[in-house]
Amino acid sequence: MVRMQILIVVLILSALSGALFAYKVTKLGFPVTPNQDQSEFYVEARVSFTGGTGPVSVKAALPNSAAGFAVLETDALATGFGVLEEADEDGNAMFFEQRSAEGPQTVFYRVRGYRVDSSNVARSGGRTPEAVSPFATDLRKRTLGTEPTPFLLALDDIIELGQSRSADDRNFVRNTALILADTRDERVETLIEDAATDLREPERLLVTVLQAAEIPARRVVGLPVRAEQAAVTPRIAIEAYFEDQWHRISPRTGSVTTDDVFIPLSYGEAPLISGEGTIGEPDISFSVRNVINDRLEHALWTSRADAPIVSWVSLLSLPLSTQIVFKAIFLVPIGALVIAFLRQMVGVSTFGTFMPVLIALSFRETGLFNGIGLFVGLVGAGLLLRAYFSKLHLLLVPRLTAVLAIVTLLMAFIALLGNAAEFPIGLSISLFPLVILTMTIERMSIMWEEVGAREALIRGAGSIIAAIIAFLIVSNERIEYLAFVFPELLLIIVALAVLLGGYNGYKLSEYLRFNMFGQKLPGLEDTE
Amino acid sequence: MRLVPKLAAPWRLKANHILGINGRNRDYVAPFNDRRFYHLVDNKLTTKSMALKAGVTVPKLIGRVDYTGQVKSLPDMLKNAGDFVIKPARGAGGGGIIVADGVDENGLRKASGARMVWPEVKFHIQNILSGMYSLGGDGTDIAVIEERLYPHSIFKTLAFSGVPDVRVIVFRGVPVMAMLRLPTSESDGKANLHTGGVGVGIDLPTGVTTLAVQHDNTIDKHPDFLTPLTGLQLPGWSDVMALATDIATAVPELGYVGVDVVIDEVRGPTLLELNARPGIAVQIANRKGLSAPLKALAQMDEIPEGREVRIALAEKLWTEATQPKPS
Repeated sequence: MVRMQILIVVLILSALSGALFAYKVTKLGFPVTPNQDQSEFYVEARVSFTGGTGPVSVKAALPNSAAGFAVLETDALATGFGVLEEADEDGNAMFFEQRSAEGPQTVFYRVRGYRVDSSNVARSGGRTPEAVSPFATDLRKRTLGTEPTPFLLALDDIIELGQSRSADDRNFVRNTALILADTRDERVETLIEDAATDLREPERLLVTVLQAAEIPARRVVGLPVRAEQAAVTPRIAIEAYFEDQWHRISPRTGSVTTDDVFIPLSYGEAPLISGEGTIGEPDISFSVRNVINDRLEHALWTSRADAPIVSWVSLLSLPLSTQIVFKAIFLVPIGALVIAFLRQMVGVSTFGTFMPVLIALSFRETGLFNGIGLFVGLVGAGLLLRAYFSKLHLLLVPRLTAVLAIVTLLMAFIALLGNAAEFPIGLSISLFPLVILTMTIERMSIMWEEVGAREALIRGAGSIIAAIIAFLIVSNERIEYLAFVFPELLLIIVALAVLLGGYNGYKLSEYLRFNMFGQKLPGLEDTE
Repeated sequence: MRLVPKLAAPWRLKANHILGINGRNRDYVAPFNDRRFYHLVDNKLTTKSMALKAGVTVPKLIGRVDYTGQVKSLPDMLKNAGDFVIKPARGAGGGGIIVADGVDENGLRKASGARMVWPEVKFHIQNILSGMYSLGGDGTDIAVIEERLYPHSIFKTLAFSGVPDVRVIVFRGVPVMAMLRLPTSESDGKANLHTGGVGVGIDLPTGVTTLAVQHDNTIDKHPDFLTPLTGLQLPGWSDVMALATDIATAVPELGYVGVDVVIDEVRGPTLLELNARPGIAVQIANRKGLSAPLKALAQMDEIPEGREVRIALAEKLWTEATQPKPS
């Protein structure tokens, strides 16, 4: 009997899922709610290189504690390699060593740190301020007297000008930066052209001049951190030492910046990754993830010993960039279940099952209101175009191609517009929403042709409403957390879907549609 | 106006044996209609050849165009055709249909009186071949040219411009419910209920109309002609029942089908098309639930053979559902 089988399948799935969930919660102490501490995050680095036959040693830059960021702990995932953490004048670094590592190699390491408001953080890397400045004023002045090169003359001129305009070091730094920012200035031109080293980079130029004026300054390569990001590109910044501490300086304006968190990776001119032995063209990339839950991290740590399989199959052991992708993927079945419920039990008509789920997921990238506006606007534009092309008696498939091409152009236009107005909407148009929009326009056009405008509009509206409801559910932090940390709960989704599939009762919409049957029909006796 | 829509009480629908979409799909379409045989009803040419084999009346096939190259021979093919209809073999929603009075050397005369020159006709047929009007829109179809049907004269003041038809729901070869579908000016000459056509309930044993609905509201006069819609005896009703039973018996792979029949002035009831997922609106026009007869038929191990036996069974089930059961 089918009904019995459905019941058995549902029971088995629920029991399996519930048992795993209960084990993780009670025995291993996995917390069931996200206790998001926004101030703590992981910085993860992925290093890849191609090893040769000989021994190999790779040195990769490690995040340093600095103003606004403190490092708590470091660990690495590098099978077969000896891992060594060391600090030198370039900052902290991780060394990966192996006697022979032939072929492509990938190692991971990560640093757990937290945001701090205070700038009084014990710095973990870099040279002392005294060691940073190789120039000495008296030496420079002496050389200027004996052999005055154009470079030294220009340098002296700029430093004197900067000093004459300021009373303290902070203002001197600011004024010097402003002077140097004007690259048409003859003295600045001379500095850049006659320098022994390459000073075309504004950061390097300012560092050189500040050091000549006996203000300790250095170039820093680091990660600007705003939010959780799958990929963070390292940026160059400069730091100058005055008022007994290091300050991060904007090279254009010379003012001290404190607004965002900047995690220093490497001080001076050292590359982020270097090595001895054959390493081919090494590559390093960084990602940043919030620490989901303190207790969860702890539970995972202990379960490594108690229940190695659980920790091994946990998605939290995946690289960060993959984790971020999975967080979204796990929401797809939940969204699909919501849509299935709306279609089978409520009677909302939508375009297919997955279309509204995908729309809901793209709302996660664009934000709800921007997303609805974009969706309605672009689908509307697509349908108008469709109507026009239909008048030209174009054949179906080429006509859709033309519509999609123009909608793509429209999206590019909106992105440019958003960029010009510094409105972040343009940034959120990724490939994902584009594909979903074009698919929706195609399906809606076909329905418009085959069944009529009314039905197409009803389904379009139904799709949006279903997408909004699904979005409200999949954008819930607790649900996202549960799905990601307890993937076994997806079995419950399967069980619920099986139950829904076996439902042969009425939809909510049918109580409205058949409201004329609200009374007892003549000649029929109540069976219930 | 009501702010809160009026809903039927949950237990009433069940007590009145109303079939919902979930029930239709799960209890009847999924177990009784094998998806592999959907093509039998999706393609009008397949349906036609099947009907001919079963001895069921269908519009006579005048010709077909399978490839763009054949379009050239069109004037020749239609020279002696008289009046005819051009339609896509796998058409959806009545799109792409041309009704013609006849042809001359320049082109064809449409039934509406408008003229279409040969290049226009050829372009239209190419559109049909490219799948513009077809289910799914996968880019290919066949243009079918067949004899034009003339609805019985009783429909002169019942159908606005289009062709009215009778939809019979047949389960396991036994008719269970039927509805007359009338085009209106609002529905643009199409007999589709959701575009504003009128649905009329039919007393299954006698073929007398019982109740009419438009947009799910009861009406008693046709919205365009103001002619009464109830108490009419449909011509050739016993032949409609026989046709529906015969064609459904000929496709046992599809147990739950909607049979669309046009009552032609000359040929009598003629099969228009079959539908493997017929809608459930027929219950509204008949003020009667489908579940009672369907459940009774589903529980039978075997349905007795023979047209007369099956029609008698249909009438028995209909009467049982209308009269109180002896307790």
